[in-house]
Amino acid sequence: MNSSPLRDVAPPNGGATSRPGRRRPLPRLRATTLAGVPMRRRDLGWVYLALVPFLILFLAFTVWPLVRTVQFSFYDYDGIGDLADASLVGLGNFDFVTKDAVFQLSYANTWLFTIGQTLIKLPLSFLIAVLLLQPWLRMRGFFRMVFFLPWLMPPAIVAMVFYYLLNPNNGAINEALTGLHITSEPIDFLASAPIAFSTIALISTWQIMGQYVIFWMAALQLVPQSLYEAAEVDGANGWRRTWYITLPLIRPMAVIIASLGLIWSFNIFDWVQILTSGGPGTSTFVVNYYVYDKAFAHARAQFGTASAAATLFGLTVLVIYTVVGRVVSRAQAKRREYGV
Amino acid sequence: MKAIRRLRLREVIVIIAMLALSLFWLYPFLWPVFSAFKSSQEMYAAGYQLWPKEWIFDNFVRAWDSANFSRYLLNSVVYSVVSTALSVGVSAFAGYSLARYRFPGHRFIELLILAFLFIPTATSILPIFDLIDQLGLLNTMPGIILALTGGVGFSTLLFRGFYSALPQELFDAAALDGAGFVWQFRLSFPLVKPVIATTAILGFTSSWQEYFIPLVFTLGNPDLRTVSVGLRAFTQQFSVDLSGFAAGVTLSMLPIIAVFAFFQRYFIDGLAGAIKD
Repeated sequence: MNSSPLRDVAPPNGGATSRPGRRRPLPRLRATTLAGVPMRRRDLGWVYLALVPFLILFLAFTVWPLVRTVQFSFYDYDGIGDLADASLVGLGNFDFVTKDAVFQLSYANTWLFTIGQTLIKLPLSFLIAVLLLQPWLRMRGFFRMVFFLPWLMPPAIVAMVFYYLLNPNNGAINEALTGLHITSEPIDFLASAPIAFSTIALISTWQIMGQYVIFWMAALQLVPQSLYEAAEVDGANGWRRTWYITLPLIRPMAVIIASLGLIWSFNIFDWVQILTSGGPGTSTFVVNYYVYDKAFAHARAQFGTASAAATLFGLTVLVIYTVVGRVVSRAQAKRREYGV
Repeated sequence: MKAIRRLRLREVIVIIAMLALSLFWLYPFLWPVFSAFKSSQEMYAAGYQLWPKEWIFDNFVRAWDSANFSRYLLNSVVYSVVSTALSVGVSAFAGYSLARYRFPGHRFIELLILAFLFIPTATSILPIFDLIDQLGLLNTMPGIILALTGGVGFSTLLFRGFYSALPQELFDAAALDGAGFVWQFRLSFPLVKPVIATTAILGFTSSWQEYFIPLVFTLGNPDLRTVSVGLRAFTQQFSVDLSGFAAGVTLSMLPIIAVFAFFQRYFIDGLAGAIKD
């Protein structure tokens, strides 16, 4: 990569780097710095050299896997040995997956969870961020720490902890609920899909919220303090100030935060794998769990089917990403317009 | 005067409400910490009490020895540190090159990154598994580290954005003084500390928290498990040893809390930096 095509054209001159006078426009290549200053040939070599490790990682772990997933999805492949030995089934895997009731359910569950969790975590974290920035708040450091600490724990470990806390037999949460006579019977929080997903949405919010509080605080701090002071002089109360000044001004940032929130929730796996293993039955399957189940949890690995599911999932994310990307770039333009 | 007084009462109510919420919030975090000091019998009949009646320390010893826990903890630390270093190093160079220079292929590379940025793990994990297998790195540490490091597209974009925002005159002046690529890159080091912090922290926590990749890549070699995967196996094997589990969870928090304590400011700034572009 670093052997630039220029090597053949220009004579080697190592001394050029220490003599700025020698820099002259190079024909054909038009390699310049951001400011438009033509690049030295040696620097161009360095640039390509600096990009090589990145290109290797990016092509190997981002681009190539996607190509291969699409390729796998056309074969009846078990993940062992050569793909060429597997039989080509055309769109057979897609046909199977889209008609598979379990996949349909996984797909619907993924959307349901994503939307539900986003609707809980965004407003709650926004409220807490607003409160944390109030000048009259005491013990600010303590509160910030409390809401941030769970983020340090891996979701998988949080899920295991909650598995015990929620246990209907002697889990602490049920003990507290019955002990304090809030409910007469212990609740099985993972008994069926609706309650299991509600539980997962709440406890995953518990784990992730610190991150969103920080996002919102960063957004809120961009609003110029002088605007609030002006509004106060005009007699606007706290709610009016939030509604008419804060919200319109942070809308561009809010779009970015919400988009990241959606895309991240879409990848739910750990919570389901640990708390319900997709059960009872297959009622709490999500797409990632379906892929895992098909590829790694059966005696004969079904990489083909799993890849078809993964491809459909990737397409969905791509569509969301494109839509979101459009909205975000419009939001970014607005941000520049507002100067925040 | 009256208005101020009424506001204060409201503030007190909000602060009390937040205190109540914090207690709820802290409970699941403190539960494993205190449970780690309880005896198995007390654990079983514990209810929702946090404070141990009797403080017992051999849960930690049991978790450390019997569950191969020390190994898993070391694995987690090694994976996270190495993959973070790899990702920061690689993406700093690439981001700097993309931000500072315009060269043939520049536009193509940037479009490539943007187009493939948000590939979900599920979509790429099977071919990554296959690739690591082809490289002969399946069930080895380098294999897991490579899979965890991944494509580094996001951190490269972060570096690229940050370098573009730096005053370019600085580099041009250095170039006039004869500094080449390497010297200009080194010169910018003190200026890019915030973005190094951002990418390092995002990289470290995402490796530390990752579950899907280490789960799949350690199916064939349990010795390579991370803390999360190891604890999961532990709970499946010894489902009654609750206090041992709690001790394991508590131990697993120590490294990340140590990192957090040292770099607290960077954590907050770094995370906030991720959304400011």
